[in-house]
Amino acid sequence: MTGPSFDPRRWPLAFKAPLLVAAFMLVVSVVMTDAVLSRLRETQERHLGAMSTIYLNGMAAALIPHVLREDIWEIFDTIDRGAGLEGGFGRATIIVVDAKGQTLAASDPRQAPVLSRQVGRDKDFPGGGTLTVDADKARAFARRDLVYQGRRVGAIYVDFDVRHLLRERADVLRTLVATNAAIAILLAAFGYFIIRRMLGPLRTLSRHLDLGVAGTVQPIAPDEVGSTTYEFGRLFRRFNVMADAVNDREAIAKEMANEERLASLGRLASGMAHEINNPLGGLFNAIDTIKRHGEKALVRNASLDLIERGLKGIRDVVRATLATYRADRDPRDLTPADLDDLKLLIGPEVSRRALILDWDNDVVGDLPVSASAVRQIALNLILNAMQVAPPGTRVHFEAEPVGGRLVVAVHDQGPGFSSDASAMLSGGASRPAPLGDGTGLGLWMTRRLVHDLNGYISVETSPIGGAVVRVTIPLAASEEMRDVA
Amino acid sequence: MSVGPRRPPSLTSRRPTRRLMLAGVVGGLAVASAPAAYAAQPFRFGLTPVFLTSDLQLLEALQRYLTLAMGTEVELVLKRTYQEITSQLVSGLLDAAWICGFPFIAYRRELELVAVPIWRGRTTYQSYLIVAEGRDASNIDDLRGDIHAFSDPDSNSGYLVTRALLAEQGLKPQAFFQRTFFTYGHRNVVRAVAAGLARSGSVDGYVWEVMTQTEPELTRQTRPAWRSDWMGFPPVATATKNASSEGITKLRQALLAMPRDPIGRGVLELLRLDGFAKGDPSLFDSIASRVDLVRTLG
Repeated sequence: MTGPSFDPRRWPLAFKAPLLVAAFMLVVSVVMTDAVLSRLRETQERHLGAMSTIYLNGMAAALIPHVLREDIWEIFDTIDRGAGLEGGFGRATIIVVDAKGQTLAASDPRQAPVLSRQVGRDKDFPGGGTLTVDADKARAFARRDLVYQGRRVGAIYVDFDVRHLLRERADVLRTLVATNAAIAILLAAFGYFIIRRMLGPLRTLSRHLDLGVAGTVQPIAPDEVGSTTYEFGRLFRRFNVMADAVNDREAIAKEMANEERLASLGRLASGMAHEINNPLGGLFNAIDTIKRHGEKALVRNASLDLIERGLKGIRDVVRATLATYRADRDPRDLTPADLDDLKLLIGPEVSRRALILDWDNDVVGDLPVSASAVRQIALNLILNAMQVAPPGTRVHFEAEPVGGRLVVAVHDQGPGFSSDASAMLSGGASRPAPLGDGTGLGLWMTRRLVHDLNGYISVETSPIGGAVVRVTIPLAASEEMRDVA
Repeated sequence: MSVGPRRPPSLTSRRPTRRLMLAGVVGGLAVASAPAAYAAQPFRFGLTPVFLTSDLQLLEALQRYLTLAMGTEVELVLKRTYQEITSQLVSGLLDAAWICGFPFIAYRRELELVAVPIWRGRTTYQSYLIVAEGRDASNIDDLRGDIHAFSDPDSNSGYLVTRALLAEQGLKPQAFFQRTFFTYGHRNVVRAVAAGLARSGSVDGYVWEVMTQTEPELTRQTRPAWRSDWMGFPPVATATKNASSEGITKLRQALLAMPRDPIGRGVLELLRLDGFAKGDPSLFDSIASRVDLVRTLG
């Protein structure tokens, strides 16, 4: 498991795609919001302009007769009623001036007393316009000249409260942001769901590959193959073809390994038969001697003694062979004798190849490790060493417990390991050596056995000239300690 | 002495012309000689903006009471200015009207008293000079240079009293005030001063006092700075030629009987009046002396 990466290129697709959707939505919504708001602003101002024109026209029609008469009360009464009208505007402030710019009346006379001058009012209308909006103060300013028979008799200045328009803009903005955020989240969630669904077959494939590393490669179930898309279906079918091929090879390799073991046992058995055959001749001679000269006590005792020694030798050989097979069915701890028995098994092969075997077994008492597996490992390594060792050279075997481990090493004076063989032993190669190579399966089986025991193998150059294969196997009792460390 | 576009006719011509008198006599004869022909005509009763003409409830109640009490149909006639009511009354277009003391004096020869309202136990009232609440002023001199609101050029309390006050000093309103305007309603004077449109105003004291109960939020923004002496309350009058007609007799009886009738009591309650008295033209002597003062000094 690796931790979360900060490099966006390494983020999972199921996360990246919805993120892209959300980012895209953000850009779209910013553009859209801007467009909608500016459109709304235009509409509002056009609307406000139209409304204020209508409002001021109505106001002017009502006011002109009073302005002509300078009837302060009627002007006030008219605008006081007009200022209270809430249709489309907030409360308005209205000032009516005469042709000289002197106030005739205002909706709030305290702000603009009668006869006060309002010359500064025109500052609110840069460029001679009739309507301006001050968004900061939330007010709109409008003016209209009062014209009677082509003569300007006065003017109306109105400023409206346009807070409701600004509030409407804020409402629209809020609604847009909320809607867009909701859409973005929905789309992102939908995208996440879709991508996850689309990547589902990849997870299936990944799971099956993981299982393949641990044991046999499991083909993907046919209904899963059928339910996926065309592309993944094809991928799955190809994976299943590959899985079948791998499994077939694995099965063949197992069978081959078995045969190899039987073959090596066969070789051993013929050696053993020879071993048994040698004393047999002596034993039959001794029986002959007893038959003919049995009455002579001296001869009889010597012959029986000979027979006994011969039978003991045969018994030892038979016992060692039995032990090799029985151990497969009867797991038990390793004893020094389990290793020493091997010397008997390979004795005939050693003498056939005219090798010198140095035996250095430092195991004392029982060790908590599978006896049959260790015997098989040691036997394979010794057989491998003997196979490569030229006649007349030495093969050195040593076994000793070191700390919580058992170390088994086999030295030879051969040409050393090829890099392929070395890699296969120490775990660099993930498959058996090409079939047909006599040594391949033995080494590969050795590696499998060591791996099963949680041990490891190292291949080095031996001090006596050739290679040394050293196998280190943790003892069961110390397994927990190893885990802690 | 021009004070505005509407000059009260009384200040230029107090005395009735011969022609007007003749018309009155003819009119009176017509009523007396052919009562049957006029029976279908409703009794026309004019109202000035002396009081709260906007109160539809009051108008309805008053019409109902008069119709029932007089036993004839009564039509209430409303006009914007005192002048319109006064001229219609004098010319006989109205049978009777509730007018102000000023036109009553101005047309003294053409008009006869029918009844005078009783307010707070008496048949008199005051004129107020009002200013915004919180302003320091106690007499007319404190109001120099103001924007001033008058009620009506034919109103005693809403114009003549202030006009006479200034005339005593040999001043005219346009010289004393920065600017004056007419609102044609006492309630409007209160509104103008309360809103700040005018710095001060001349208003009927009775109207202001009644408004302290009906519209306290408006009067609370104003304050009487000066009160006049007690003058004759705006009376109900009729044309002289019509004074002895049956309709006027019925009207006078109806007005005097008002406090004894439930509907009448409702009307009086709305008007905040106690009732009506027969009254005497001498009640309006102080107004007449003001008219004389303005005529000679103004």
